[in-house]
Amino acid sequence: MSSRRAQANLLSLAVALTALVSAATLGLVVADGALAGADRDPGQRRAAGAVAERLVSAEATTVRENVLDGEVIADLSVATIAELAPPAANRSIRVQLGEETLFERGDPTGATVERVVLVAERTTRSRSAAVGDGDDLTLPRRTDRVELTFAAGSTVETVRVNGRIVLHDSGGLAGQFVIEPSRYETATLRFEGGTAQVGIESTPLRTEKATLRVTVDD
Amino acid sequence: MSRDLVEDERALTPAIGKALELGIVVLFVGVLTTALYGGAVPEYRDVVGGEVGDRAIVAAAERVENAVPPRVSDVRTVHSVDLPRSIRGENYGIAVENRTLVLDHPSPAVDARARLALPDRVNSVDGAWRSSDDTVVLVTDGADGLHVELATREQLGGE
Repeated sequence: MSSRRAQANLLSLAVALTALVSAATLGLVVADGALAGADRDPGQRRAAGAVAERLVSAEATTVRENVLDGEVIADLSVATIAELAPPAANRSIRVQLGEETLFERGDPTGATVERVVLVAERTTRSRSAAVGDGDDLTLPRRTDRVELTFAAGSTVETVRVNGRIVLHDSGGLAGQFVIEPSRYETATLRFEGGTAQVGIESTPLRTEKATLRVTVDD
Repeated sequence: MSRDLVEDERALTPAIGKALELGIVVLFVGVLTTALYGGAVPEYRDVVGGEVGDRAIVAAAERVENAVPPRVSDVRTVHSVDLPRSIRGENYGIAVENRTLVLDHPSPAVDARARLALPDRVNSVDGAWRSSDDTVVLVTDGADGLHVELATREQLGGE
């Protein structure tokens, strides 16, 4: 009997070691899980961010900062995207404006970046008016470019925009002129010195809010 | 019956028992340590180093991009950049190759690159960083566009 009792505590040692092995294995499993959870692709998010950022700030695609040029943005190409944002080259990518998909390559399901932007469309408004000395004419929408065409026989000497003289010819203005009023205030044209038949063509920007959504995958 | 000095080997039992236990425990610790440091730990360090490298290079690229000012003339800006001091326990460098930031690390497991998205008015990008430096991005105006340089605070004389 005594010989069997001799190394009895080796048994408890074996149990203890088994417990330790289980704990270590559990630790490795948890560490594996944590690593798998931390495995993100920051490059993907960056590519999406870079495309969105460049689209709303590059001169090629915007009218001014955060105002997209509607015409340019409507036909985006692979080359434009690659030139604007090199990180997105060779990745599948989708660019959406509101519900409309502007550009798509592959079927990306990865990181998505959204930006609220304005989309501008340049519209042209033409009108013709007979003006006399001291007549005021207010342009209906703000614009930064107005083209005035004075018909032959015009005797108008001075044109003011909001009180400031922009055109003057004591012999009578005739022909075509481009004036650039501030786009931050409504422009009122004032004609002085005579009468004329004037063609007025203004190109106001019509802007709409929209959400630009860029999705990028590997 | 005298109990003393009878030939008996039982006296050694505790000693042998303890020695066995000690041996087994030492063996166990040895095997476990070898298994962890021979396989699991370096692998984890590689994976984590790779992730940290990816993120560091992306953060650096974003910082460089943000350092470029809007269209202005006669500009000189200095932006500091925070880089992790070390990745996988070692210092590393970041270099520029053809408008791409490249992480240069002694371990092959840590490898990352990020292409820069910069406006047309940027003419050239060059320079290099060491992670141990006090790193900055220097943007200066040249005759043919902006010049972006990865530099250190010391090079600029503590500017």
